[in-house]
Amino acid sequence: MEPTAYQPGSDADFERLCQDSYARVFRTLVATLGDRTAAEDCVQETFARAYKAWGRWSPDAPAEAWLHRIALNVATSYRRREHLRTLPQLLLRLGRPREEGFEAESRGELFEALRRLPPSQAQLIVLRYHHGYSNRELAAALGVPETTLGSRLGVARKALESELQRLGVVTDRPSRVVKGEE
Amino acid sequence: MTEDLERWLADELGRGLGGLQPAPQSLDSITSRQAGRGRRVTVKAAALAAAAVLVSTGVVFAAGTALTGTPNPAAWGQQVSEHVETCKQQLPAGQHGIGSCVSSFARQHGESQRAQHSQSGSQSPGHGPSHKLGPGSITPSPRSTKGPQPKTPAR
Repeated sequence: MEPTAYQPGSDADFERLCQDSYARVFRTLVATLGDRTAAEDCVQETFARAYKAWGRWSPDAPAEAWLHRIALNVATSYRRREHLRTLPQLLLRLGRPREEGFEAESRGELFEALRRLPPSQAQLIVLRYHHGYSNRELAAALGVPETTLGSRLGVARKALESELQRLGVVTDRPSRVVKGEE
Repeated sequence: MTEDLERWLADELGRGLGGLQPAPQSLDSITSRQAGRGRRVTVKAAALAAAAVLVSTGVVFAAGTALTGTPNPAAWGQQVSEHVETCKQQLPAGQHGIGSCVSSFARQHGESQRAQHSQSGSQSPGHGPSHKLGPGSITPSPRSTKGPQPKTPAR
């Protein structure tokens, strides 16, 4: 990722940051939440929160990593709210076939597995394997030391792998993709 | 996690997310919210400035009207409100700041009132200092230095 120069508190720079990063943060949220509409809401909330805090952004960390950190908080709160909101409906639906509620692009097994992970783990996977963040950038994004990040990433990978195994996408040993080989 | 799986992961994420774009109005709403926030602040400041102008002119006009029969201050207030709206409309999208537009109007108005008043010579002598504040002394903008500044209400 190329670092871009932004001036904290500058409206023009915030608009530029929006143009540069909006779609990328949106994609991270789609993968994290597995729901395009929810991602639309959360990306707006992310940028609204970011705008409020823009004057306090420190240029030491990449602006987009900072945005992703906010996005993670927004996604976590969203998931929590959503869980509480849908719990009664889930109880009512027990034993009935599952309704198709997700967008076509997020119906694959990988996205299903990501949805089952905690947002922090799903986001790590997307930032690493889709956006190509390095460990250092990820550490900056989450505000943790690189060593901590390394172990969190390892845990996230293992959790994803086990979800993929449960979905029959990978064999348990060694981790091999079986999907697409049929 | 094997390289095989990592490659598959990157491919799948790329396939699922690669072409995904947020709804165009999604970003627009953020940038307009951002611009709107600045504009709201400016409009609020302009409204406060206009209110201050109205208060000072209202006070002065109340005294002035009683003494000289000058125009209704409400009409002037209406003009200011209308001009604030015009200034807002003239502002290019994404830009803030109608203060200079409003104050130039107020200055022009003050000057014309001053000229009108000095021609009519309606200011009557023998009243207290605050009563000397006729319409010609209205100074909506602090930059306008002609005439006394009506800072305290007329007694």
